Amino acid sequence: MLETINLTKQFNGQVAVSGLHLNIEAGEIYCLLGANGAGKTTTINMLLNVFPPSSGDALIGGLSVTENPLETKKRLTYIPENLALYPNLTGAENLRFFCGLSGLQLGVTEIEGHLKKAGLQPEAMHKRVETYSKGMRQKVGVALAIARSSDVLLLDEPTSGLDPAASNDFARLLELMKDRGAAILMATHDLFRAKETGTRIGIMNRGKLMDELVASDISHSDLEQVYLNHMKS
Amino acid sequence: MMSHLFYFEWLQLRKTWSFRLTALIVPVIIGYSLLLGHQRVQDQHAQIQELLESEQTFYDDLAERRRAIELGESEVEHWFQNPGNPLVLAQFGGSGRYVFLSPKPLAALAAGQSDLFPYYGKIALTNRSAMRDNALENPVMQVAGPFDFAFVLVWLIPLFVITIGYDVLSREKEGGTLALLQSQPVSIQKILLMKVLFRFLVISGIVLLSVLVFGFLLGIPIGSQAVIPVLLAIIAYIAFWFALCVLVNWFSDSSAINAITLVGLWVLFVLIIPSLISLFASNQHPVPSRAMWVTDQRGIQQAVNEERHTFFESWKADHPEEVMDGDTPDFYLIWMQRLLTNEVIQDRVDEATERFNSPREQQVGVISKLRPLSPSMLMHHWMQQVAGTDAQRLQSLDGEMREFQKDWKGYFIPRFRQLKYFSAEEISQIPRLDFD
Repeated sequence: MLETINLTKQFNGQVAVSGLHLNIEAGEIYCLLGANGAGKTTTINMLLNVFPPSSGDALIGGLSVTENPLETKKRLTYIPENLALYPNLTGAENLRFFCGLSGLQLGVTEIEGHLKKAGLQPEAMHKRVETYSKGMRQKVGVALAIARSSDVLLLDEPTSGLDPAASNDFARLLELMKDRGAAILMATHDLFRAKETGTRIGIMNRGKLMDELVASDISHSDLEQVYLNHMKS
Repeated sequence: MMSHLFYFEWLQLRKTWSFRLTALIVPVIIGYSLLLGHQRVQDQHAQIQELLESEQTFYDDLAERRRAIELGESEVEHWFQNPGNPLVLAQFGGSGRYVFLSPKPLAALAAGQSDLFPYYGKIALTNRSAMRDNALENPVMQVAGPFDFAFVLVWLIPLFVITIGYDVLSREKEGGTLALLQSQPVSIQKILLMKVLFRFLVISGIVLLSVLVFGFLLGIPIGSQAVIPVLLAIIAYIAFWFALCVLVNWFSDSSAINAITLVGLWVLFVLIIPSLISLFASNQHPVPSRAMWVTDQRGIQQAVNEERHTFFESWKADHPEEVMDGDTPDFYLIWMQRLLTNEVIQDRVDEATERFNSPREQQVGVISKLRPLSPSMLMHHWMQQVAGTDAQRLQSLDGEMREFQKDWKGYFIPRFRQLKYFSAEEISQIPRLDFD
């Protein structure tokens, strides 16, 4: 569903991502671990076609993101670390707006239904987003993915700054999306959440994918040890 | 997609203080400025009507008195009491004709220079005076100008455009929504263009709707074809300021910096450039002091009066056919001499005035060439031309009066030279200027 082929990005001669090969299938959560500057966000930005790769390509549903940017974006939902919505619109209005950009014209009942599936309290749906916590905004993002039946979810540090309960709520939403057949790429620093939520875990350092692990095959402490070893190398 | 983007931009915009402030204040100031303009024009129409009626009453009264004399029902003791005497009809008392520059249909839009230049005057055989009852009384207004629609459009509307447009793109960058928009299956350029277009349409709509509604309520002829170029010019002027907003947003991600930059550009285009152009023009072509002009006038009058006998004698020698045979009344010779002298004085004063006005005209030429440097100056000047209150049109009153005075003299002086009195019937046919 989501594939990168020798994906490389250089900024002024500095390598940000180097020869990245990823293949994430439907119903899989791939957690990309790495320190700041490891190339996780650059990878996601190339998948979003914010800037083109220096070489290599990325495919979503078999389509190149550089050649078919709008078509590939129809199949994905992106949730950044701080999901910025329009503060003076309500959660429901924000969801309607972003669904509309994909050509989905939804009624109030449908909107409320999607927000409810994403775990947003009914009394919060029609309040301005400026009153929302970060966790509530992330739920609107997940509701967008549910509403659009996205094949791919790109998540950039989505649980950073969330309290444990909210983080746990979010993990359950990812499980829901996984069960619906979405291919999920989550860039994160959170080793615990990666082990608990992910199907596979990739470790990046200085733009390179250093290791790839199956989450169920490794313990928390071993994962931490492997991660630290790669960071030192 | 356009309607979707417009709808949600509207949902957001209507909740912002900047939009609420604009939607509240802009119609009020436009309505108030049009009301003041309308009152000013109504006052001018009323004044013109009143003067025309008083003039008509004056000559009707003279004709009536002349008719009574013709019928032997009345007699006069002195020549200056005889309403048939050309001098009485053309020079004395309240006689003479008013000359007006009637307000144009859209005069309510811009007071322009109408508080500095008179819009009517009166001519007689020896007098030609512009009436200044519309001159400024409030010294503050001499600095700021009158509160008219042109002032609101040129000075204030750009500030409201800035209020609506200063963060049209930077808001998305600062709020972080740009990142989310970039991940949507719609071109980011298209989304931003629609947002910009919507805000432009909103501010243009508020201004145009206010003009049309208040114009209609006040009875300003906004349905006429003449108003279409005005509406297009308003849109173009708002588009200029909105384009500046987009340009500044393009280069800066900070709404605060954008706001300061745009206010700076407002100061530049609305205040600094016009002031510099005005200073440059007056330095290039300095106008002589008015005191010097007044002194010149007095000098001319004195010099001509000292030679008045010479003028008269030489005129008599040149025009023997015009000199009446036999006894003539005392006033005849005195007034023949006075009219001749006045003719010479007026010609010489006109020449001196021409010299005095020449640098001013050169200044106007310089300003016209440099005006495109400031769209605000261009717009203000154009609005005054549409309203018919620009200096050039108002200054044309003097020329109109001069021309009509020539006709007036041509009509009365030959009759006076022959001392041919007017009948009651002829008094009612005295010429009138067909003014616009």
